Amino acid sequence: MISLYIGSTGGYSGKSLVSLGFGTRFARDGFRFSYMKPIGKPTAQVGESLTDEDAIFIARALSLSEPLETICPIVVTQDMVVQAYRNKAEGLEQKLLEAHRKLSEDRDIVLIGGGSDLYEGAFLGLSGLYIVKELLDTKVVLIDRFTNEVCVDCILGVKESLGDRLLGVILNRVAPERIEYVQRRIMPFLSSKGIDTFGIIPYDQLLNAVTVKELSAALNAEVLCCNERLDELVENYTVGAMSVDKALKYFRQKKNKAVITGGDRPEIQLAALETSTKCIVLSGNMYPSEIILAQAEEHHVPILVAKDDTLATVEQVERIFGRIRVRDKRKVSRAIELIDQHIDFPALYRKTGLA
Amino acid sequence: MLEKFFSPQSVAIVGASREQGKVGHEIVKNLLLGGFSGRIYPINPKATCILGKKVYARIADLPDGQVDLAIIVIPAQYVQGALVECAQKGIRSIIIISAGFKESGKEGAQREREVLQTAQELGIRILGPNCLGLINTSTSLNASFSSEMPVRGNIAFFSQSGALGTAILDWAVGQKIGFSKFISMGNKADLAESDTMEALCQDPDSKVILGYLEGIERGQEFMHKAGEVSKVKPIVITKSGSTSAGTRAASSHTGSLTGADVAFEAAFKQSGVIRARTIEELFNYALAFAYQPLPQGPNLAIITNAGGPGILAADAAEKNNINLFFLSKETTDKLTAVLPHAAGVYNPVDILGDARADRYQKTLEVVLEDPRVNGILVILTPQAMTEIPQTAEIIGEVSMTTEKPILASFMGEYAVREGIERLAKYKIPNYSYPEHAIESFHTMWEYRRWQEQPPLTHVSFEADKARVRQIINQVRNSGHLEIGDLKAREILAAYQFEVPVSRVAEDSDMAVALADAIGYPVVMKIVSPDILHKSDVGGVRVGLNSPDEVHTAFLGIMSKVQKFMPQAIIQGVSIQKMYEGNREVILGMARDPQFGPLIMFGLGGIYVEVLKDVSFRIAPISSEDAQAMITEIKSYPMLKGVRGQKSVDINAIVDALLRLSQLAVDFPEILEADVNPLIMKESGQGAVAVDARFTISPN
Repeated sequence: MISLYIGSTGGYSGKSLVSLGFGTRFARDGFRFSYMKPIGKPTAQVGESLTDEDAIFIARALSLSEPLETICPIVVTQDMVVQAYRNKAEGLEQKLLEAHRKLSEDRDIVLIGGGSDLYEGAFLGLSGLYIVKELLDTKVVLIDRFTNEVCVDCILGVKESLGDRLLGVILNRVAPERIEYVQRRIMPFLSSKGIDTFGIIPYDQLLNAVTVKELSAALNAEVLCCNERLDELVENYTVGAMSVDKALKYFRQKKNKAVITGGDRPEIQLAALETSTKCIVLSGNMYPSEIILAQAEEHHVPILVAKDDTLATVEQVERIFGRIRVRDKRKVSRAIELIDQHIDFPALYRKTGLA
Repeated sequence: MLEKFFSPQSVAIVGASREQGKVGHEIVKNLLLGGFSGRIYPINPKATCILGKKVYARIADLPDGQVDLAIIVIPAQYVQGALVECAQKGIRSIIIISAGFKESGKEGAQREREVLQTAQELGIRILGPNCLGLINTSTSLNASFSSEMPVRGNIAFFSQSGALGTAILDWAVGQKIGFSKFISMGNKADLAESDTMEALCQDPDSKVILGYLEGIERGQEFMHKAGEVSKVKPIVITKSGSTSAGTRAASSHTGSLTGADVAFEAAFKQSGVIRARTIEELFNYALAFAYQPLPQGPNLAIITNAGGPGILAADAAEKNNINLFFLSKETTDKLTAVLPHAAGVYNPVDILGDARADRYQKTLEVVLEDPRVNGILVILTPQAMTEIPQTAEIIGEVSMTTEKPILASFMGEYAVREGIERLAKYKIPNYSYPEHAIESFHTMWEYRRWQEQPPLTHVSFEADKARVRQIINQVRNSGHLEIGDLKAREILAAYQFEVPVSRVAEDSDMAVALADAIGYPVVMKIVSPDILHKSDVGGVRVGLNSPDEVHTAFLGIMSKVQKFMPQAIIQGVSIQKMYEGNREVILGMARDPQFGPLIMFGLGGIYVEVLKDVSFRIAPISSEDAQAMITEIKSYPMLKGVRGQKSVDINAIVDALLRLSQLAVDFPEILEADVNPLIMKESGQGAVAVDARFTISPN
């Protein structure tokens, strides 16, 4: 049995994506595996207890049967934070070890989902580094949302801390134009430092999309039409505040977008409908004219009316796009497909001794 | 085409009413009062007789195949059913007056789609819905709810706005201006301006076609039809919504995106449509075309009994490129002989304030005899000795003897009223101010030139379409919609634009090596998918002449970019041969929602950005269009060379515009294109497209 810790160099770098993809592939390749998230955030309520939304989601997506309190043994509630600062958070290590023991029984692999970085949880005495090196004695696959040298610094830093426990890295969300350069320059460099690259995952529009429904919920907006299109995926957004011919020019540069504009700009709304648009967000609680609604209906584009002014609406939409989680079915299958396509599993199995 | 609309033998009114004031009643009344001589079939399940006409309970009760035209005025939700019943009776021409369609919101829009689909399945043509109806004065058909029936004349008018139509009909009745046809287009669900223009072209009673539009259906078809029709008779259109505020108003009124006003301007220009900026202008031009023959040249002679208005007219003429030419020696001699000593015998001919009708007559006769005179404007101000009605009669009679157009400007209101009425009797258009007369003459002359313009030259270039298709697919597959840098230049190269050799360097050593191979001077630009405006972040250096400069520039660019855009992904720096043209131009294309690819041309730098000195045409453009686009811009003399500078290669610009036009037509998925700059070399040496950008559609 081996424990494989999925670590990352920063938040929102794709740990859920990798856990889902790995789990699916392990099952297909005939390995018995379990999943655990040692330290969770109280982001979901199941029955009486608070637990980690990501952990539940991954457990369900991978059809795992273990109880949630085993999969995510420690949930950092406000009470626990206070206790920790009073140095009274006790028995956590034990809880974690116990869960890990249960999850290890009759398994080839225990997949462990780490925190945002390897220091997360240190205030509880349970940093990723400690869990990996001391507590659970795991191997590590590091995932990095690769952009530039800063990322290489982080990867090398982790290597320094973990040594041979670090099996290799996965570079995520790499722009297609950049892949060739990463293969030619970054991979050989990392290799020369003893770090294998298990895969480069290209930036994916779908995974970075939100549904119209999510957008609408986040904005607390009223949906005026095309309720049947709320599951459509919005890949990005733009603001329509210019003249109509300029608007067309800008709107054409983005596909599957949300257009945020004022309720009193019918010409901008029509320009949005003319281009690849998944929904129109009207700010300032202003309703469109009937004739525009009719056009939106004809183009099957939902119109959302947001209560806030344009600036506040844009800020909220911006926030949503910065923190995208894999939830939607389409995203799950794309995530699995991407991992399957771009990760060198034979190499991973060799390195872990599973092959 | 549309005969059954204009000249039906019989008309059914679905939804006729006994109640005065209801539209269904007014239409029957207007048909009767208008003097329609065919059969009228009012339909109403509850009435037996309306205005003395026998009423039919249902459409099904109508005689088979006996009704040419149906006018529907029942509530919107019943219209579709009525169409089916009409079709069963063989009625294929239907005016839908009823509102409650696209203009009323989403249910109405759905209803309109259904009605249109039914009509298409049944082979029915529809005028409207949500319209006023139509009027044909030559068959005394008033199939509208406008009670005003204008007098018979040769002006045809179609209008997208019904309300504006009623106002204009009322005005026309007051002014005794004759109409041949009036058509209220309504929502244009089926019959649109293209169909109307085509029908009016064949109508012998219409001499000039006027239109009021808020938007255009099927832009390319409109251009094609208008281009044909305008060779036969003039089309004058007022298109509203030419400003941002106007566009906004039009958007919420019609629910359609009208696109840029420059696109309309270009489309009208290319199809010979005369654009009237205001309704007043529309009728100023209409009267000139309806009443007078076209001038054979631009030479206008002005005859006036007052100096001031003569000068105003002269100013207006020059502004409109109308030639106030010098009358021949023979003419001025004759004028000297017949006019008082103080009179001005040159153009404008000032026959002085004491001129009576006979002096106008003598002068008119002498001036008309001058073979170089192509048209005359007679100005009259009411003065003590002026014989207003008599002068009007004289002008009218003289006009009967000549093929040259005569326009009048009887200035004032009260004193000249009778004179103006007499002028109208002789079909002499009168303008209250001479400027309007001059503008109308100018429009007539422009139209005359359009009619005589030889067929345009369309050229086709060899192009590697497969390569362009491949690039577009690659970019789409990578999830992008914009194409810049190397790939954009490759697209241009596939259409035989000359583009500079360019290679990407990853570090400064490689940059120097590439520059050595390409040859100095070079241009260096950052290559990054994240940076579109390279010069804004210090990502461009030009005129680098040595390895040292290239080395320093490389490091400089990298440091600037890292400072301004630390998150950007950098692929390297491109090294490009620097072309030393002393003038740069910009070509562009943006797909207009109504007309399609709109090609733009301008002189580079501030001329485009600040002065907006640009010209537009809709693709496909002809060689003549391309040529005109170049000469049209104000900065054209700079391309030809000023202060001893040599001309740039104008033919190379023409070629480039034609190639871009061809590219836009070949690839509808290219939505926007910018070739900026195209660096010009001297005559015969071509031009180099240094940078370009395209936006493509997602599928």
